[in-house]
Amino acid sequence: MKSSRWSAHIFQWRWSHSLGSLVICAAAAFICMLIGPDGFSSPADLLAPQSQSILELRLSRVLLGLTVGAALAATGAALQTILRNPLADPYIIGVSGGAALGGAIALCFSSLSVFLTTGSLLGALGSMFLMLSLSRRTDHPDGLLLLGIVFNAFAAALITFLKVLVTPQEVQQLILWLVGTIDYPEPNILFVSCTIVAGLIFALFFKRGEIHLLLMGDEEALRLGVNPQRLRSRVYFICCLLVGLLVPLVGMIGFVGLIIPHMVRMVLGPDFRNILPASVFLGMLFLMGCDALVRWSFVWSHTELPVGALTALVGAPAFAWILTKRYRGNP
Amino acid sequence: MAILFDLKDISVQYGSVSALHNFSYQFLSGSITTIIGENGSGKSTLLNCLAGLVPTHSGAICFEGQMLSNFSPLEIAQSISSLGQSDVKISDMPVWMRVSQGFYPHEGASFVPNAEQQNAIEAIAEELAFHHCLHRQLGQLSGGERRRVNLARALVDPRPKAIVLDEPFANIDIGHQPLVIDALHKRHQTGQTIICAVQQLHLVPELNGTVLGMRGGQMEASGAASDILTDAQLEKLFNRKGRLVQTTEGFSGVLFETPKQRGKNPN
Repeated sequence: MKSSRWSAHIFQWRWSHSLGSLVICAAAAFICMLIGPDGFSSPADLLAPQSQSILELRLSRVLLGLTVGAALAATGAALQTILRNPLADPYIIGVSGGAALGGAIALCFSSLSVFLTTGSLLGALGSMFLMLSLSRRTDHPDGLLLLGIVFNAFAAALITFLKVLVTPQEVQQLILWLVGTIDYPEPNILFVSCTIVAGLIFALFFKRGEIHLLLMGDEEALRLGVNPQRLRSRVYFICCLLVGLLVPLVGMIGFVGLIIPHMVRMVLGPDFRNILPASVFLGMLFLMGCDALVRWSFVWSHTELPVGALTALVGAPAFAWILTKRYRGNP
Repeated sequence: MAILFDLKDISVQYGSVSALHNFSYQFLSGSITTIIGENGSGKSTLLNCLAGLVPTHSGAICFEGQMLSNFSPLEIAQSISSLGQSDVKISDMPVWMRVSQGFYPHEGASFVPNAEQQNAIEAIAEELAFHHCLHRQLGQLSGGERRRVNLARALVDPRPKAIVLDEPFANIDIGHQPLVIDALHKRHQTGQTIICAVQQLHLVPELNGTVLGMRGGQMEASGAASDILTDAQLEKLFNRKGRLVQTTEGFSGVLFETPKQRGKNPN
């Protein structure tokens, strides 16, 4: 009898929740695939044999949106917990600045998008090694945060210099890429990113209980049997890999990694064991939806808005709303 | 009785500050030890060493005959349940979840309390009189209530052999202090070893164990409460003239004269 009284107070994410969320995501993905630059198409049109190539393109783009949304939300949730800072998001850890700088340098040599992607991938890797080696020299959680902010500011300064050197068209390309756009990806690139992101999210999921205890403070985590420094550097490494993959792939899509975990925390409470899986699915839905809206925006704007602009447009007011609602009267 | 903790000549330094200096002591299995001493006398450092939080500069700590430094954090947590002086920094967590973390070392972190553990959490909440707060948030509790919740985290799992508490009575009002004493006695009766630092000297005789007096990172005195809580010993430990007071209602405590009084009445 006692346990039934408790069950109303305990929420635990179960595999059935994941399964349900997957079904919802699949249904939403199908609806999103109907939305294109020419507005809504009926399911019959899309599934017709002559539109198979459109179907494949839409599917790959929707899948990329799901992958990126999941990765951003998982990274944001993990970073907010291990850095114990509600402002942490995937782009705070310095790797994003390195990736952007790499892309900008590559753009000076050629405006081919292959160059841009390769350059930013190299930049991400380089800054990742730099951040990881610097992070070993600090044990303080705020140290990681400050290192990232400082390095991002440094990279931003260099990018500003580079913007002067390249042509206006290339500046335009750089800005669009930095704001973040989801494009129609190559199938093999999509497959590789999907696999890596899924693997890394599972790695975070595997450590969810320990990460949850980091929330109690380093000393308390250690008293409960978790080595906080080691766990933090491992999770940090996973986050670096995720961001290092995302920025070359889609640029910097802001606010998803910030607001999605906050929204989940508002409903489900601070338990990271619930926040991680719920954020992953909500992030998938949110980014896929925003991307569908952006595709639909072509109907009236005759150009495709970068999805990063839309997520920021939706995200900033949503975050302000959460801050005033959530943290009122609850210090 | 067997020796649970065997400390040999341990020294701990924070930078240039020496917190423990060549400290040796043996904590017996199944005993209650109360550590008293002035601020900065090394009580917390000693307890943190026992909990595996602070590495020793020199010397060795053996737990059941094995070097504590060879244990992993999880192995230490499974054998030694410890609670620090400071409160946790989170406010939006339900009380029951905080208490249930005491099961983590043995159950792993992805568990939610099952019916049996829920009963254990309810039992300790009743023992420490915060049963009505179990489903509130930590931030909605007072400092003393939070202290009892944190204590419950350390006491809820009966499996650790030792319970190491840094000032368990901090912030707890005199009405609730006896509940904590009873809870500690109950764990002692089931065979757990209890080591705690206490500032409330009137509670030391109640705990009914060995008293360890510390001063300047070293052991100043040890023995039964009646041997340590004497005017002469207390004056040495706290560097103040003091006297034990016993009112007609049976209320006992320790009063130290203030520097002002000392000036008026030089002894």
